[in-house]
Amino acid sequence: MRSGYLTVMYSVDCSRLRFLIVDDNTHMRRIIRALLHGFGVREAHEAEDGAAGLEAFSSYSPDVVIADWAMPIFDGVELTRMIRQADAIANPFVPIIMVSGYAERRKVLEARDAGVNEFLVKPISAKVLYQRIVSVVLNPRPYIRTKSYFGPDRRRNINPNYSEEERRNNGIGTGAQIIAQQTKIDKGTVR
Amino acid sequence: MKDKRQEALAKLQARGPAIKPRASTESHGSYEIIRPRITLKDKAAVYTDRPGTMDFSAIDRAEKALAALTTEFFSWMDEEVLKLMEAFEAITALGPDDGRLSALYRVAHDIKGSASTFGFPFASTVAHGLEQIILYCDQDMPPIDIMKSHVFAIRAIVREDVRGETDTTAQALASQLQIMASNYLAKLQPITRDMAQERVGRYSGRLQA
Repeated sequence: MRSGYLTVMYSVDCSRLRFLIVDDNTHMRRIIRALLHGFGVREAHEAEDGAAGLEAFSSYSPDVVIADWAMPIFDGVELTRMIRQADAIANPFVPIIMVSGYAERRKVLEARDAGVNEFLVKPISAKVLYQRIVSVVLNPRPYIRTKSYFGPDRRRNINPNYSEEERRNNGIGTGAQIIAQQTKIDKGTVR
Repeated sequence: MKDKRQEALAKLQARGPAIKPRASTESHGSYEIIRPRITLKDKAAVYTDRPGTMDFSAIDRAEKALAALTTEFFSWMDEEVLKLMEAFEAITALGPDDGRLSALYRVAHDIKGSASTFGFPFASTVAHGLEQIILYCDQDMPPIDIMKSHVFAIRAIVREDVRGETDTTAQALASQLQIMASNYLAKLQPITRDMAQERVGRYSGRLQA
């Protein structure tokens, strides 16, 4: 660490967050609920398919949505796209953690391009779910709107070879420098 | 299915526009960067003197909560196996069609995802093979015998309550089925990525059959 910097450390108080679990498998919902309660979550609402999830999302206003991919009526990706349609629903910025049996790269990219914040491949474990929750709370990414996309900034890695215009800082500095600055801010490093 | 989708969308539209959270927007020509004024960090981040962001006591509590459910995992898997048998028997009794193959695919996909969480990783491995076979097979002539071997293997693993990854018989069975599935899939005419995507969408319930 550079001298003159003080690292402020944060953890997450899950009892302050409201969760919505959308999964058509009763047992998986129960497992996720048990894990959330272990993390200290007090408010967790459940929905058994994408349509019920959409309805619960608009009436319950959760802070975080945990959704399965394969579900009847609307699947998790469709549900994400509907939540990200800023015109229709309450909070288009809600973090969405997708839990899925699909591990293929193209599926992960499809979920990302729909506007999912975090992707979790089953089997689900306490540690992995907690990491995803910490990530959406402590490292919030800005949202990007283009003609074809609305959702969290899809770039999260530092690419030292990136030399094009940097969108996140009005084009000032190289991509790597700016992302490094952003990361420093996100990790709570202050002077 | 179509009606349910339309019904859900109509219900939502009837609510009218909602109050949006405040956010600052920077315009950059072809794109905008939007930052919500209040984030979850403002709501739930708490200062800690521990290094790192992981609250290991919370993870420990969650693992204990999960462990308390393990006594129920067997009956949960048993329910999944019943669904699997029903879906497979519908195919053998009435013949394969899109709806029946899609029902079997959905159960196999569910078992692939949940069995490892419930402590039955070999059932998950075999279910993954079955899922791939259904996805890539010739739908007019699906390999019933190979599918049957997978379905019965999953049932045997659950009935024998084979948990964890140490049982050598289950390991040998899963490996043998993996080879069987790979050999079958290798002989098929390759299908395009679009076709595979379309099948996944249809089978997982997103697209209409």
